[in-house]
Amino acid sequence: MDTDQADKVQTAADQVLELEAELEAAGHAATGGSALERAQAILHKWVDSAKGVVISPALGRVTLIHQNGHVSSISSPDLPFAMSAPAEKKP
Amino acid sequence: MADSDTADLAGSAKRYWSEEGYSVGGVLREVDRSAFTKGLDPALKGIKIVDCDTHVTETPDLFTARAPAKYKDKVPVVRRVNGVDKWFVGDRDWGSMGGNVIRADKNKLLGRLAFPTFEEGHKGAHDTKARLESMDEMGVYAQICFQNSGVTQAGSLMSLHDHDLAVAIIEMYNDASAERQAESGQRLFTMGHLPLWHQAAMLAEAKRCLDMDIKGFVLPDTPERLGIPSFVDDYWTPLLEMCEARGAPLNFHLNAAINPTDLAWKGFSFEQTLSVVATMFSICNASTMGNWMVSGRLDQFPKLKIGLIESGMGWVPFAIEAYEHQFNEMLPSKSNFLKRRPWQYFKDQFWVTYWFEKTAPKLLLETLGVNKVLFETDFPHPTSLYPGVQEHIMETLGGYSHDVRKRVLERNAVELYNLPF
Repeated sequence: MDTDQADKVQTAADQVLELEAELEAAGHAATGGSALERAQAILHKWVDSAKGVVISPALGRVTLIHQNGHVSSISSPDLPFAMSAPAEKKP
Repeated sequence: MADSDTADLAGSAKRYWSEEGYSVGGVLREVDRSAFTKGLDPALKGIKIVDCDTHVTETPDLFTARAPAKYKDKVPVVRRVNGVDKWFVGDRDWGSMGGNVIRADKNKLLGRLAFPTFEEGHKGAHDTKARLESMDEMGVYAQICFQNSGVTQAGSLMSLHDHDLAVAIIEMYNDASAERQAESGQRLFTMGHLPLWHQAAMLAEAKRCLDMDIKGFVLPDTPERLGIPSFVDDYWTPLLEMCEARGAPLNFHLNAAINPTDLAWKGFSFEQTLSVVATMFSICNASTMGNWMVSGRLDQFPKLKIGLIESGMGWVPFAIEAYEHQFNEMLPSKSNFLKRRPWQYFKDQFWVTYWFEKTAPKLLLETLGVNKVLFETDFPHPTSLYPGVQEHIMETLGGYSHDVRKRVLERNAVELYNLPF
């Protein structure tokens, strides 16, 4: 990651923290090093545990459904499009 | 996984999509047609009521009938799956046909979003002649129309990974809207859709729409959700210039940016969930209004017209006063480009609609300004005023003068949408 990319990551993390601070909630940002590695490992394991996925490109959203019926929403301008396969001709 | 677990997961996915809303069920309300088909109330004589939020169901052949040969087997089509009509593009589920709770016999379905099949719903949802008849019965002269299904939503079309096809689908939708406007004798005005993901294509289609007399456009509150630049980006400047120059309003229909699964308590039935979600979709148009007010874009485009549609009016004074407070407390550093105050931005550049509300039109009309409020029915959606349009108008505007009624019911809409009467 070059300096410009690192700045963008830090800026995005700072903005999340600032808005959460408005609610007197302290978030914890991991943007590098072992803290990020640990977060990524847990995320990978958590994503792998999903038992269902709802892809909603119209809403810019992907929803994971877990075994206990809980749902987790990911708002993303990229993920739902990356996950949408081109429509195939219906026989 | 056990079968019960699989069933739970399927249930979660269905709840997410409000699929239950399109299933068989609900409660049918018998409508006394004789009481609700009398047309315009005599007290409103001389007023051409413009219903500023209605929905037209896209007909199953809308795209196949207009598609060039190369797209005939690629455009959206309707298929019946498990007894429910849905849009498909190829093998991709493209969503429901949209809300229509007026049955063919004009009784109203409660507790659902639509009848499961196209034919069960009232023809006025899609057929121009039947719709005009319904409007005459309701005493409505003209309607501002919006999409019913999500078949032309930019995000869905972007996910096709076929730009030319996606643009063609938008063009077909807008062509059908222009044809409907002409066929209706200038009584049905459908707002245009645009290929938001491609600036040149968006501008070309916007110009084409305005040239064929489409009166305005529908835009999403936060295009960045789809990876499209924010409205503060120069990406949008040419479109805003065009709309300002030609007097074409931008319409923000509800605010669907909020996530319904975050709003209602888990464990609710479909009906309980939707009651909360539908209300919040309306109120959250306050964020759309605020985003524009703090953006500086209204100072760059002081003649731009913005309609906040299907979102009511009762919340508006609170939201404006909240933004007034924020301008005092948070935004002094932006006074170099925010040249006006929220109340002034509103009075200069926004319009709002009301339908089921009683308190706000009775008590807040003059606070907001009699030239800023429009009337709507949301026909044929579940929250629509049907039946009883004239009764509701008289209950809410009966205490005002004829001039005020005409302004709210007709002239505001005529001026916002540049209607030909």
